[in-house]
Amino acid sequence: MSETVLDVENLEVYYETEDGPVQAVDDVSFEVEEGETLGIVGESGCGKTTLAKAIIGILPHNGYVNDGAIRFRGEDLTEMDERRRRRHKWEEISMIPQSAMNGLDPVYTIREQITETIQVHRPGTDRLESDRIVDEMFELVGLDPDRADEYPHQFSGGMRQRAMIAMALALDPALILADEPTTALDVIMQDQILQRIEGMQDELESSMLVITHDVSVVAETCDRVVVMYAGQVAEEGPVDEIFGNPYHPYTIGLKRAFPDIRKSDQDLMSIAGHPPTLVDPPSGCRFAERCPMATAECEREYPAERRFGELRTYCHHADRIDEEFRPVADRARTWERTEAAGGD
Amino acid sequence: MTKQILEVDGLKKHFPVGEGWIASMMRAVSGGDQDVVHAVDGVSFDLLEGETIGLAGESGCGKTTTGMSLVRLHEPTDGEIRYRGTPLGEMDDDELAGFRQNAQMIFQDPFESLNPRMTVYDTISEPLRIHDIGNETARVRRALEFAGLQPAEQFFDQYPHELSGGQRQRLAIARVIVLDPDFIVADEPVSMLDVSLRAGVLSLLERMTDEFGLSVVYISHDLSLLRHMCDRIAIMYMGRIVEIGDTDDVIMDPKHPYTRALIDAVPVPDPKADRDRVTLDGEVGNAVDVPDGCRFRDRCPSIIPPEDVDLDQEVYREVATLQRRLEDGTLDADAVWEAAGDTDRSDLASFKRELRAEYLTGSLSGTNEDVVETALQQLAEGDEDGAAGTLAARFTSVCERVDPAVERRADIADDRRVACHLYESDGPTTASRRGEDGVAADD
Repeated sequence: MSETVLDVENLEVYYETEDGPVQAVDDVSFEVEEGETLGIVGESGCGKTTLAKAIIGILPHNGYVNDGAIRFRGEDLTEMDERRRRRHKWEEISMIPQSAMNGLDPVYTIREQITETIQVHRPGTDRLESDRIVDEMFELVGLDPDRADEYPHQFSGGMRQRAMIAMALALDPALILADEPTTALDVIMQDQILQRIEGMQDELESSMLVITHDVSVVAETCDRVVVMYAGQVAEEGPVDEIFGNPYHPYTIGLKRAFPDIRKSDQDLMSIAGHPPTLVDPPSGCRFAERCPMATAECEREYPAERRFGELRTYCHHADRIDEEFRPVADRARTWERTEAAGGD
Repeated sequence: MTKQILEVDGLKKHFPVGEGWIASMMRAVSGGDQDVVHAVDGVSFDLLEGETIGLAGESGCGKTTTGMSLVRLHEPTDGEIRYRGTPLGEMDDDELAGFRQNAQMIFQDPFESLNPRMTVYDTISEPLRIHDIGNETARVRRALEFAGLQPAEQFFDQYPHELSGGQRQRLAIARVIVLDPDFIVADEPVSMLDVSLRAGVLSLLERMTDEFGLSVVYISHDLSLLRHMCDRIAIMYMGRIVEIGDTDDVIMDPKHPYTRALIDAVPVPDPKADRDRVTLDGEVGNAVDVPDGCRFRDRCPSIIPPEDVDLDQEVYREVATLQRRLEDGTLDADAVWEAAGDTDRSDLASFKRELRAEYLTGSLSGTNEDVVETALQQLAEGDEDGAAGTLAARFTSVCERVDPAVERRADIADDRRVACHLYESDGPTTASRRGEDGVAADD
């Protein structure tokens, strides 16, 4: 049995605002095993980026962990004092941030920036050793090590993104968080980065957390998937199950919102309406308002966890999905009821 | 027969670079020509009534510049765009005003394309006032309702910042359809929108196309999306169309090696799918100093050797790369000498060995081997130009010499045009009419 690297348990992350606390992440639990890649997918505002920031410890000043635990190899990061936590940051857990290509400092060469990272965390590393690490990381992400001495503006967007990945890997972290790693890139670049990520998974033992709204990226890179909706886990399971046989109507709808290049004539389903406000979220199922399956029960009560093999889902009607929902999920009319309920 | 709304013929748009005074003084002294970026460099296609065409390609391939030229937000450097038969360049003021009413554009970013100081009502009524169209309130209401912003009156006095991203893009669409245009250029219309909103805006665009009988040019790098939205698709590379045809034909059976690479790079929402991947080396080439011959050749996985050179693609590419590096002076002979550990440059054999280890890993034989050996000898003796010439005489590919026209190919049955030497030219009659790439579609 492989070791659990990250164990998030009943995590609540709130933001303090004038209207009261925004419950951005609410009662979220999941685990990441060693060497595993977990995808977190959902639309914007579902709390996926907040989750990543809480894990690595870079919440903005008005954000705080209200309750729950983030255990990294058994140690609760939320209990740790700032100095010890800082050591963990980047050395144990690193992050490839959203639009990472703009995250490099324009006035230093790439080598200087990666070397600085190494120096800060491993003081006393000599120049030769850090140069060797830089070269090795460059090779790993498919960049020519000779170009490490260039400045960020001499790199194309995709190369800068790869340089950022090299930086995130430099200290050989146990866990890498990738927040929308390919979103700002065009197809060819995106494919190169995805190939790099897949290559890394083979070569390194690091675990990864890939956060994205793009279900295709998740399908290609992840072993398991957490589908988030309005700050909560809607469904979680192995990638084959989530894509092949999901039980949450939201997962089913989200999948159909993406055109697939292999299909010529497909109706795209839009899940009309928008997620509830998280200042005062509904007490029942948060997806009820937009869900074609919703009943009075859904609005009243939060659904309990249901298990289908390795899949866990939070839907009152999970038992009825196979017979009553799946056959009609591909019809535009199924989602129309909610279409009338509001624009976007 | 369906009528053409727009005929684009050899469209070119070049942007000057280095316009600063230092650059211009340097030019005055050296007498050189001004550098230009060949953003669009010979694009031809027709847009039929009610048709949707997708322009796809990597960043910087010129798709947005093409789109902006279509609605005359750019003045073409060369070539012609005809709207219902009349060239845009020859239109008088009245005709141009009519054209501007009929040609509309939807921009990528609804956060930047709307004036933050205008209310929803003003935003939509402004084009009506400019074109002097009456019955304002009713038209504004109808446009908003069509775009799904209901009840319309509630939105009249709102400002863009009060709307969500999806609503803003709907507003941008309402502003476009209020003029009842003929055709629309939509530049990445949903790429800034959140997943769950995309499908909604896309179905609005589809409804718009159907109900108003519009012709639409969609610009996007998202091929899954274009497949979903378009009748025909045009793949662009470095300012040119390299393949254009029926969407299903192009996506299911891409002919141009670039199209194939582009389509193979699209991720699919299915963890079981094991897609083929053609890895493209390098980056899009230099748009200032464009190469002769096929612009894709340096990255092309199917470059064509001369007839009597019988080599594997990989080996041939190695030789071609060596030749290219010699020609453009990017082969660092000093580094090879250094690697050979011979600083006084006397041990020619070890230089050649080192060079082969670095550039030529495949096996050569017969004439090919002899020619390469001769070239390496010349190079070892310091004669770079001679070495380049020796290689060029035997190995120069047709892809390097001849710029392929985007035209119908005899060995491709369906109605598409491809710019690639792998396919047979349809005969001399389709030779270029204008510039390097002037073969207009005959559909």
